[in-house]
Amino acid sequence: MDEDLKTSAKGKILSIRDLPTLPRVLDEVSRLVQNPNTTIEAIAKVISRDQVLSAKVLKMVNSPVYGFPGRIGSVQHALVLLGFNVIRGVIISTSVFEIMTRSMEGLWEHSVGCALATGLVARKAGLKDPEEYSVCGLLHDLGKVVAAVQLPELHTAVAETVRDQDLRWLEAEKAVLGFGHDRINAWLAEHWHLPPTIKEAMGSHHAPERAQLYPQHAAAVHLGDFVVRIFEYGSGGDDQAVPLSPQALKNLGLKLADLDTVLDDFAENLGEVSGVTFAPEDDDAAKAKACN
Amino acid sequence: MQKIPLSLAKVGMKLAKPIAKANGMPIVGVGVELTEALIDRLDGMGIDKICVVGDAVAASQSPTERVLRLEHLFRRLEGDEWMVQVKAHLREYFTIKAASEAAQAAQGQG
Repeated sequence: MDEDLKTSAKGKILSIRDLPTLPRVLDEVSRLVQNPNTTIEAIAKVISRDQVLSAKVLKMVNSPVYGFPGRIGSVQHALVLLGFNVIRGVIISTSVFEIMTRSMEGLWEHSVGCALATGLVARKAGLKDPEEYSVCGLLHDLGKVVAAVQLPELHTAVAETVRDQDLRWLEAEKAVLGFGHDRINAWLAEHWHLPPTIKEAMGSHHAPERAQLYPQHAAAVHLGDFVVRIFEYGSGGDDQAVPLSPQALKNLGLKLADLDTVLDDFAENLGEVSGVTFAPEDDDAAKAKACN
Repeated sequence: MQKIPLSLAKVGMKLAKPIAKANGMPIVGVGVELTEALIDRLDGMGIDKICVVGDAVAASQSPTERVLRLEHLFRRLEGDEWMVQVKAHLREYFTIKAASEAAQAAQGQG
């Protein structure tokens, strides 16, 4: 691909006009959060108005990914336990994945699996608020979804390059587009005003040694992505292990052998996580729960 | 071993952990094979999660399958000394897991 085409691809991916729209309640809630006098009840009330969205949030936060399986009965409870940043991340991920095309099949499972593994890595490393790391894992490949929606023909070219040249998805993106989903991620995080921790994790999960402000977030997602790929749960677009950054282990104070218990816990919880879907038949039950 | 929601339980799966009521009273022991009647009974008792032997729900994620897939997953990382070491570690990890699950399954049958 010549330079002109690369520039135009970048412009098209980053054009706000066609970007997936986030639920309107998110804008409203973001405004509320700016006001220090806003109560959790007020935020929960706004989110709960959108019943389908509330149901999806409850379904996700009740999965083993966040460490409170089956114990969170209301949006308000979820906000108290997990905090606004985590809930916002969950809302963004469910909204973006809804527009996912068939060609990205497996990416939702890959992302939920990465969220689970990233949270386990954070717990193993003894980091505070591991659920904040899980949400970084959930969002780590949103750039792939947005690229697929904005530039379907180039997405097909990336998929063909992966297949024909036996490349990893990121390598193929760089060959076809001139840049990878990690850069799209960083831009999306900026556009959606995500916290700097999530932005750095999304933008540096393939090169955690380059993370400057929050190296532990980038390192945890890097390891989470490595683990989910070893188990081949879902698909990140190719069937290869990613090179594991020794610096990522160092940033978290972990050794290679420390991954063993992460692998144990990941395998044990995988069955339950596989139930976290957006299947329409599940929505009614979750909606009923959200109403209670 | 895999923890699964009762809704995914199937006849023929074997329990990897005993099931107890919330007050600790045991209901079913390790190694018991699930039957239609037992699943219904557990459902009636409000049990929503159980631990079963092996990776009954996601067989492709089983340790045996993982050992077989490592060469394929690492095919482009052979020249990297560190990644060769990572692969060897994972091979050992999954091999031990596979052996332990096989032993557990044999015990369940015995």
